[in-house]
Amino acid sequence: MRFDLSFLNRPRGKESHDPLAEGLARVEEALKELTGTVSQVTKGQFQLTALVESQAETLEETAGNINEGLARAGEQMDTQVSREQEEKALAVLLREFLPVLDGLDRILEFVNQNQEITRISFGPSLVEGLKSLADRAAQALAALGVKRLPATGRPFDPHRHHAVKAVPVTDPELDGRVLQEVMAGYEMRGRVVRYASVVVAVRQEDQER
Amino acid sequence: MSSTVIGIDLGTTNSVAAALIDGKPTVLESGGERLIPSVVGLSPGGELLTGTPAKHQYVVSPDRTIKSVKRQMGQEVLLPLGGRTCTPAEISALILRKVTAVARESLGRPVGQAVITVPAYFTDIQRQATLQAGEMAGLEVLRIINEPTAAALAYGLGQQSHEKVLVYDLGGGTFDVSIVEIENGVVEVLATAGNNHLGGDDFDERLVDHLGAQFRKQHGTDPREDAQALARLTAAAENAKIHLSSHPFARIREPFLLTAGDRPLNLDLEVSRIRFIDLIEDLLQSTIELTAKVLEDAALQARDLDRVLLVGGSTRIPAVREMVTDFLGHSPHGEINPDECVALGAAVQAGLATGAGVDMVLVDVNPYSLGVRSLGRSFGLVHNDLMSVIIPRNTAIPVSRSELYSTTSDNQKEVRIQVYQGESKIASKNILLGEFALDDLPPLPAGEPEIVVTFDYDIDGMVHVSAVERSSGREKEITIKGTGEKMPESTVSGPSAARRKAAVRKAKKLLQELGEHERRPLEGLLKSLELAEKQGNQQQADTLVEDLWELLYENRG
Repeated sequence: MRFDLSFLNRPRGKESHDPLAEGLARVEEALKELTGTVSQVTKGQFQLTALVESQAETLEETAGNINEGLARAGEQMDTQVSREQEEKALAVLLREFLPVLDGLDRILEFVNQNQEITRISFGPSLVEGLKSLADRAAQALAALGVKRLPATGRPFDPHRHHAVKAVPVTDPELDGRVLQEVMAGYEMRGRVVRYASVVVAVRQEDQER
Repeated sequence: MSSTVIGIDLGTTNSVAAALIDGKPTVLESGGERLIPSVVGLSPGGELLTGTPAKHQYVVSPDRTIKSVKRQMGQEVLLPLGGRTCTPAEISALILRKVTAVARESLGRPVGQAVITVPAYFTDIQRQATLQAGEMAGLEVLRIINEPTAAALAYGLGQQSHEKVLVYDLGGGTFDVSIVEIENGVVEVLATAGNNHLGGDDFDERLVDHLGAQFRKQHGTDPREDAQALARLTAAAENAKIHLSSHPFARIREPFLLTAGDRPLNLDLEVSRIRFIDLIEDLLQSTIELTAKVLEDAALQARDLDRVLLVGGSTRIPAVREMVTDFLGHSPHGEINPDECVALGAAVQAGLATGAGVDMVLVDVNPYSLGVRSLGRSFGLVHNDLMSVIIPRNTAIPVSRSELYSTTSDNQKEVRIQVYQGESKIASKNILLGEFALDDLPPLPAGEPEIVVTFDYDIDGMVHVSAVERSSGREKEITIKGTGEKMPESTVSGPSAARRKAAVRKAKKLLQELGEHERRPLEGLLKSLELAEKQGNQQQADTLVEDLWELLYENRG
């Protein structure tokens, strides 16, 4: 469309009411507005594109992390190390509870060494109750695959017992045997969780050397 | 490489093996053992025992068991082992054979070469004996290095720098303090001092004596005179000592420890950390005197030192760290496991000697000191804005520490626990991470309530802070994020955050395409934005983001 705009160059009166001129002025204004709006839209478009790109990158990264995490989780599930970890955790748990079992041992020891007085003061049920509790404890341990290390009366075994005291004896039968258990030892599936602390009998001559 | 080079700390009481695994210095363990007792024995049945089983039989067969042979290395003596006699080097060889076996089991590969550590004061003869021991154990000994040097290597010191390092080594049975100068990998020992018969075992003994005496006062009999009771008391004392390293009180309970006729006697005592330190004060003081001596021998002042390292299990006692810090004016490094540090350093040396790529010993530590604001004395003046550090910076995490506090006025009803992070001695100059009040305190004179504040820093960087008033059991706790600046929610997520992130991303990509001259305004803008974010200045950050968009649009090409 071609407009002949030469009339614009005609000198105009101060108060000439020229509908055409007015219309053109309005078009000029509208064009300016439109250019402004278009440039705004273009700016917004630019920002929007940048935003979308950035979000896409974030999503890609997150997807990558998730995949990595899944792969690692898959690996962990496949390994057989978990059995070892389970045993380690169980050993730690056991070690925390050992003082409680030790306490039970001490009470039983005392009661066994003072059976008469205990029975007189408390009747037979205290001793029975304690023994029953001790059995219950052994049951719980057995369920976890934990065994108490045999000590008293057995030959001293440095792989299972830690000697805290040597007591001189003359009887050769007793030589090298565990006389007393200071603290019980425990093993779990063949591995020693705690060594037994023991008092060992030693033949008289050896001690004098 | 079909066989591996390992590093071995051949200690007086225990030995440790370490190796580079994927470039990382790692302690080797087998059958749950990391520290192998340096003990050799021959059972009555003729079985050769090394390590833990040998230690177990010592009391029963002292003439067939050899401990602490390191003290006799280099001496022309023959030590009896059952019917035979052995030189100290031969005994050490047996220990090294055991250590090598543990290493081999751990690595799943044969071990043919090793770097072995010795004390800095070892003479040539003593070093020769150690070398011999290694060879007898079937090892090719690549290097014999000094223990303080190994510790420095574990901390990555002296590789590309010139440093004067003081190593304070307090173990189970011995104390050694040395000053070494390291320059670009070359080490010179400037001075050493020590006490061959001073260590954690002595601290245990003092505590056992204290507990025994207390028990006797209470019950009239001394548990130290009964073998069984003494054994249990000793084990309990050792546990209490360890507990006191991270708590201000330890409760020691041994029910039915002894019987008096037909009466069972229970041990139920509490030991405070302060009391424990009292018991061993003179021993600790003697280590400080030896530290002073070593500085004198090296003709140095404490301020001439670049670093101070803590080695040996007994340096876990907080009082040891405090005394060293006070005396030397340096904050010592102890974040690498002090029992294993020397072995790890030997592994680093093994790596360097074979040209393997060596990674740093990585330890997760807290980067800033954490503590509470308290009232105290500083330079003779009382002021109420003191930073009382509970977890010093560079402590290996996860870690749990407790300290004891009290009230400042009579019948005080509450205490404000203000948790700060930072290195300033003035609490308010550090960053306040959180605060809470422990209220409803029982009416007591000032200074009497015992308020135990515990900081539990877990592996995720969260700090759980709790305060307990011991007599009433009143307890309160909060959880805070241990590190980092605090940012308002909106700056971390949400639409404006997305716009900001997108702008920064685009800007960074654009930077790569722009020439030198055009880059500067963009870089400047990014820097200002970063600063505004760090300071938590939301408004400024928003303005800068808009400026950034303008700049990006102009350069859209």
